[in-house]
Amino acid sequence: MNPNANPVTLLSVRNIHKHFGYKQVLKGISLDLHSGKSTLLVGRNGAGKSTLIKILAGLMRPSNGEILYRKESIADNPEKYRKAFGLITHATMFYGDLSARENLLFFGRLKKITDLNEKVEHALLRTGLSHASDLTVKVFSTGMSKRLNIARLMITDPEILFLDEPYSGLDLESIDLLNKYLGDFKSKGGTILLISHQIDACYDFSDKVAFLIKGVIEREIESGNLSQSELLEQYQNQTYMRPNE
Amino acid sequence: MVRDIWTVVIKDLKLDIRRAENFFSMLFFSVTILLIFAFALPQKQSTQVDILSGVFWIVFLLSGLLSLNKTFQQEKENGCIEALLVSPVNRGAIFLGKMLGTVVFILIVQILVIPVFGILFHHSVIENFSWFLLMSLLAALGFGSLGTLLAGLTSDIRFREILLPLLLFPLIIPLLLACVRITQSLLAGEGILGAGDWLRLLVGFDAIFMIVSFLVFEFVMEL
Repeated sequence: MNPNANPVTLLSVRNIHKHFGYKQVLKGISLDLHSGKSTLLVGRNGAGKSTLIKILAGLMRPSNGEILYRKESIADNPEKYRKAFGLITHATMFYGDLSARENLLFFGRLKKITDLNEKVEHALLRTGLSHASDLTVKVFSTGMSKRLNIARLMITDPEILFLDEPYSGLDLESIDLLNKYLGDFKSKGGTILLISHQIDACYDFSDKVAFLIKGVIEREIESGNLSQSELLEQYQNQTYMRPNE
Repeated sequence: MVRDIWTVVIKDLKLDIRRAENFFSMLFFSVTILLIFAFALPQKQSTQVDILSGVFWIVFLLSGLLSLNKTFQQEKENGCIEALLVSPVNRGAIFLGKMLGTVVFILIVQILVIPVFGILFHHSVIENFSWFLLMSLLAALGFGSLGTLLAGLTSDIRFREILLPLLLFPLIIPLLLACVRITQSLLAGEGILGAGDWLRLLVGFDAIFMIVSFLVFEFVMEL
């Protein structure tokens, strides 16, 4: 059975506000993320994209608003919610003095993954890092660290992915690896929220594009209604913004 | 939860072993301060238990501060703290894991510092080695609980190395006072029960700050 035939709403974001002192960064964000669908979030630097991802990942408390995971507030069972998502951010999020294998085992243990050793070896093999599995992560290049992040996602097997600039620092081969993983992830019913300035790399598997402008989602467009070249043009010229901005 | 705490403790100890410079800098720092006191205090006074017990615990506080500074520094590198916080574990377990890692680290240093202190100042310290170790454990639990919480709170602040002692030292005074009085009792040959009230204060301090820190750690890390 195709898990994407009847998409369900995995995550509902309701009227999220965030302010730092007097500065209002997010002004009432509402968004639904459905199974088997991918949403590309675009916007200028400082629009609030990374703040939104941090709030969704539970790293930051919203000033107002609610997040529902499978219709339950994430505040009711934060550990269940945290088991359901995976995260890639600007930072590598690995301990430099531990080896690649030790890092994966550590985070896998915290996620209570069964058959962890086999999954770690399999993920290292799939990401082409088997040869470097015993090296400390501090000697890894940016691309290798990103591949290791993909390996972590493979072993933790999340339902939702929050990806903040996952393509930065990746070579073409690694971009292919990431896109293949994301394609498989979506086909199994996973949902993705993606922030990227490299629209050409991620457009093909984005089902929806959301435009975040000054803390507000101004437009949401099904990607079938907007070609990659139109999106790129709007993005580069910032013509998706309101005329008075 | 015990398994999660254990996982974090083992990871922290593994990192400490790989970064042996943290351990050696803390050990040499402690020994250096003891030597300075040994030279600075007049010989006659240096045998007085009142002063010596103060010296011992000042060294404990200052060297313990080094261990607190490193505990979140290694989490902040490469954004590891974010990966830790998005793990599906109770954040109180993360706190306890990090706190216990700090306690073990402090105790290992204390095992080496106590004999040095005895040799430099007072041989009866070595006779009471196990009591001093117990005292160090109780002090490390309270210091580690409050210190880990405050280190987490200040980990994102630019002047954290200055702010952490400014916040920690005033709050740690009851613990310091209890430790000094119990040590005076030990050095005067009255045994640990000679300062029973202070011992109760120390245990109470540990219990209160361990529970409070466990409960509020989640909010501190999610501002």
